Amino acid sequence: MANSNLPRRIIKETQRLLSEPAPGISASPSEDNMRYFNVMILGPTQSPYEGGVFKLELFLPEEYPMAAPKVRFLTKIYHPNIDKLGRICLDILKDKWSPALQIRTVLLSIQALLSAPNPDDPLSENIAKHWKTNEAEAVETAKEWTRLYASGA
Amino acid sequence: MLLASWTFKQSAFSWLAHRERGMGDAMVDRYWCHMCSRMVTPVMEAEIKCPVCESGFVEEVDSTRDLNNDGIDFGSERAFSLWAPILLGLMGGLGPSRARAQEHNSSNAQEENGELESEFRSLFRRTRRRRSPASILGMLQDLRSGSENSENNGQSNSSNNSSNSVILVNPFNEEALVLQGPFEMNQSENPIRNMASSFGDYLIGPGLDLLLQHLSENDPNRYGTPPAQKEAVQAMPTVAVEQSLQCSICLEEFDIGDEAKEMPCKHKFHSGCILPWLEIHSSCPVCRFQMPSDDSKIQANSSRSSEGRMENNDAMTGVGGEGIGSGRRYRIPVPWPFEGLFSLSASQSGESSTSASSTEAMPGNPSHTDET
Repeated sequence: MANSNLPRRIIKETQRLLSEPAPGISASPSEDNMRYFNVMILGPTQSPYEGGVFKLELFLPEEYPMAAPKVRFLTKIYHPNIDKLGRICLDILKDKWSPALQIRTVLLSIQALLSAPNPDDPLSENIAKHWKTNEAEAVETAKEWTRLYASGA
Repeated sequence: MLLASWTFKQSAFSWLAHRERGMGDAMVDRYWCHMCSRMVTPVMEAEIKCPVCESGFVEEVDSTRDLNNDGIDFGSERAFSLWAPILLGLMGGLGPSRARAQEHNSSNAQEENGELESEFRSLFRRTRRRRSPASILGMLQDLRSGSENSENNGQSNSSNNSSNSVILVNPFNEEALVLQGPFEMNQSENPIRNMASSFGDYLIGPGLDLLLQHLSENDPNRYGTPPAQKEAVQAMPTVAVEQSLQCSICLEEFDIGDEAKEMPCKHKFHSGCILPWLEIHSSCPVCRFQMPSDDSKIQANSSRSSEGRMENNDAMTGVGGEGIGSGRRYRIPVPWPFEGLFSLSASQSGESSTSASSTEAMPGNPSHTDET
């Protein structure tokens, strides 16, 4: 089983995530696979996602920390850098990954991405276009999606 | 579907002949029709005739030794051009499986066949031999989806058994071919057949899926900076830690006096932590300081390995849009039959290894669709 060989680093990170969670972020490992985390991120204040609770899944591949964790939104979200499958366009999850980054820093970066959508580096072309041509309307849609899909949970 | 490493220079030909007609008597396997340019089971009447063109221009071929005496060298490029029409004949239109496919399969499957065929026709046309791994990966994926489709089309078992595709990979010229035909996979009298079916065990189903997934997703080398130059890594000093410090890779504290590897940017890590990273990337984990990278080396290897050949445009313009120049390397532990397929340059630059668990470097970039 994967759990029997869990690297010390992953244990350390998990302990710290549980004992000192970052504000607005919770991450807890699955019982049957310590490399799989159930994540919740609160929509940042003063963002279209405020008031929403967004579920994500995070998986630490065998190569971690030499390779980035795999993270995906499970909650539907209207964001130019997140596609309809929940995949996230974020450099530190791809070419800017470094083994000095951690689960915590990854999740903080995703939280920051919610505060600062970047339609110039889009994953969802349509949403990005919407954002660039009519930002106010796009923000309204994002708020509506937050109400529809990310409230309560 | 089945992959076999085409290393059996001597026996490849008779094997194909067997394959073509399945259960044929060994005696009549050995006729070559000069009109059809293929091995045939002749019609044994008053005179011996080819069953296809009905000409008498058939020649008994005692063994593969005779063929080789005629000057066919399986390792040479010329041999390939001799083989191409034969093999294309096997995969296109002539075999009974082809007719069966057209009778039974949906139009969808026919399209698949057509695509496959054109893919390989274009493969043959290329005089530049070395295919990028990405295109081979794509090819494998196509084949796999093709075989899944035909299974889903509700063909009877017997039909499925007899219309397998065989991929031959010739490690000497790094070329791959696909044959479709009435191949019996479970015959036991021919050792090569046995080997072929065990390749099939390797490469059908979960194993292949796993490999494809590995190629497309889990490779830590897939993104980011190229590997650091070995000389630069070796030049990194080992220093004693003088103040309390955490290794930001394993997150463990150093004790005062512990040894650490110091990068040119002065960031310190356990050697067991930083060296694996620098084998796949060249940036400092903390500050992204860029070490000298392996780019130039890869270039040198690739040009050395193409000795005398035309420069390889395929690899340079690879399917993923990035060629050797990107310096990305892929090390994937693969079962033995894949080595010939994926260790394109390694086998010629003297880096190849024969152990089953060996890892291989290969240039190029597997197709990735979700990278942004």
